[in-house]
Amino acid sequence: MAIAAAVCFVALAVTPMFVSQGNLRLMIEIFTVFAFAQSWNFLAGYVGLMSFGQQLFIGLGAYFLFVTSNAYGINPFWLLPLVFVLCGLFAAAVAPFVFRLRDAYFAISIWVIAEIVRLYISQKDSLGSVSGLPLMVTRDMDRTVVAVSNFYVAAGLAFLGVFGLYWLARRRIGLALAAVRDNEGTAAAVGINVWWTRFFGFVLAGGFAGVAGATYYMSVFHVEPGGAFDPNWMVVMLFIVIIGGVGTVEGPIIGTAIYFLLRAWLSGTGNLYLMLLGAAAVVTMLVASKGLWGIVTKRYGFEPFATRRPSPNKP
Amino acid sequence: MIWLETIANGILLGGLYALIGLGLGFAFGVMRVVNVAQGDFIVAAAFIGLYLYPWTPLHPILVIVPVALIAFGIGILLQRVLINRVLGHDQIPQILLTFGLAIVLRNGMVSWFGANSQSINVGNMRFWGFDFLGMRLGVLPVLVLVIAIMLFAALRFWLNTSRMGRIIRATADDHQVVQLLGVNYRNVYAIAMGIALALSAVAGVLLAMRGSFTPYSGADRLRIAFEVVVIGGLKTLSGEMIFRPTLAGTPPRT
Repeated sequence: MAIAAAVCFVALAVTPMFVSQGNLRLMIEIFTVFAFAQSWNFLAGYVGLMSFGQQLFIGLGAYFLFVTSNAYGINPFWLLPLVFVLCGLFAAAVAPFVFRLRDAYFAISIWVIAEIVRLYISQKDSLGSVSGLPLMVTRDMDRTVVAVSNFYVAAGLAFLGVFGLYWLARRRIGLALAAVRDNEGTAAAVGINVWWTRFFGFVLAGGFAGVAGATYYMSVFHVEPGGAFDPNWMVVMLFIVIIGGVGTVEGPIIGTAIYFLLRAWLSGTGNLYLMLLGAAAVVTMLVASKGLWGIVTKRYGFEPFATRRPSPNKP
Repeated sequence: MIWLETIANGILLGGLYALIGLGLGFAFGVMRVVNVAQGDFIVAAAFIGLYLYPWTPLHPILVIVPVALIAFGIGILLQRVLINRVLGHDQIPQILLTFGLAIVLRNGMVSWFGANSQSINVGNMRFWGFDFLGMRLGVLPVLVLVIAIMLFAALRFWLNTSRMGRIIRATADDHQVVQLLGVNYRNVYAIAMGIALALSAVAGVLLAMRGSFTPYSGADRLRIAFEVVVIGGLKTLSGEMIFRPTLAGTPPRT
């Protein structure tokens, strides 16, 4: 696994040398959308919290970055760790309230918070109200440098989304998360603090989605509340994760590939394309609730990112 | 005086909001199924009403009867064909399934009916009003509240006295034990989902008569339903009816 990670790392590092700027932009988009999906996958498949409002953190991350960068004239790339902290803090602040609700009520409550934040920003002139904010600082910078740095950040997020998640899932905290997801009562019985474990997962997913959101909107130089807090982000994340397979590292990779291929083929069909995304989610739930990757694992037993360890005493 | 009138209008709207929440709460109470597509079904019912009301005899408001029957049928189909297949201890598949369904429904309605704002025309009744304790109240909102209360009372009476109502209550308590007594709980679930959608459909049509709707209204309707259920409590029917008006004081959503 370490070798695979190293190979991916090197491949990503040299990519900008061979790729034109237009393709670089597309790759930034693919990597950030993958990171969004992976943050939701982590939340739903590893922490066991299903949210319909992950766009909250995408928008928040973008706004935290744009507002701070514009106000102090700081290079936005240095602000990304701060965005992680701020989004994590926001998640930590709402967690005590939303954790009182379960399942669908939890899912909807985050969505409601996303709507509240969107409406608040839409009415604040200092935050650009409905027309949004431009990113000032990168205007005076070299375009190529901005695009390449942006690519490295997006690639780093995608890298973390794959190998970081795998690493985390095998750590002590990852096992604790899995235990809490599978059975709260049993997890508590073996000495895991259910509330704090879940809290950790929620904050981490929020911070990660925030950084990904900031990266995405940094690459388009403009953010507006209608787009950043758009529930259609949720549709996209859901589609990618469900089609690929919830709770696997590989699933969202396949899901992202299918999503971008579909988008390329069906661009211009508008609603039909969204309908297809929804229908695909319904069919997947009925036919193979583990997603496409679930079928592969079941049939071929191929699971490179297996977080389960082989049983020590095989029969 | 103006705030008294506001409170009165809040109560009138509250009856309707209660009806929206009732469908969701009923489905959850009986089956532990959270139908995330409920809001979009409400809007779909409004569209069915929009196309049926010119053919409705006597008065356009009676269109709620055929729409409720259609929604009942759709509910049974929905439960049998889709939701019954993903039932289980885990709620996530049901929620994702209905979420996917909601996306399909919403975008389907946009492409068929367009994104324009629509309303069901009930003729002059919209403008009728009467004076009550010095307040001016509309006939239509009062009628809507009366229909909502009647549906609540009828549902409660039916659940408490009829054989089917007893079976539904027993299934809600423990769907495994009723199987021992010869009840196929999946059929009961189908009927319960039919009732849930019929109630929501009535609410959707009445809401479309009082105000306007677009194919995108489903998300707002769903939020109202959730707020109703969360504030009113899931277990009790009367809880929703009592607490509902507290929410209706907030600005109306279209």
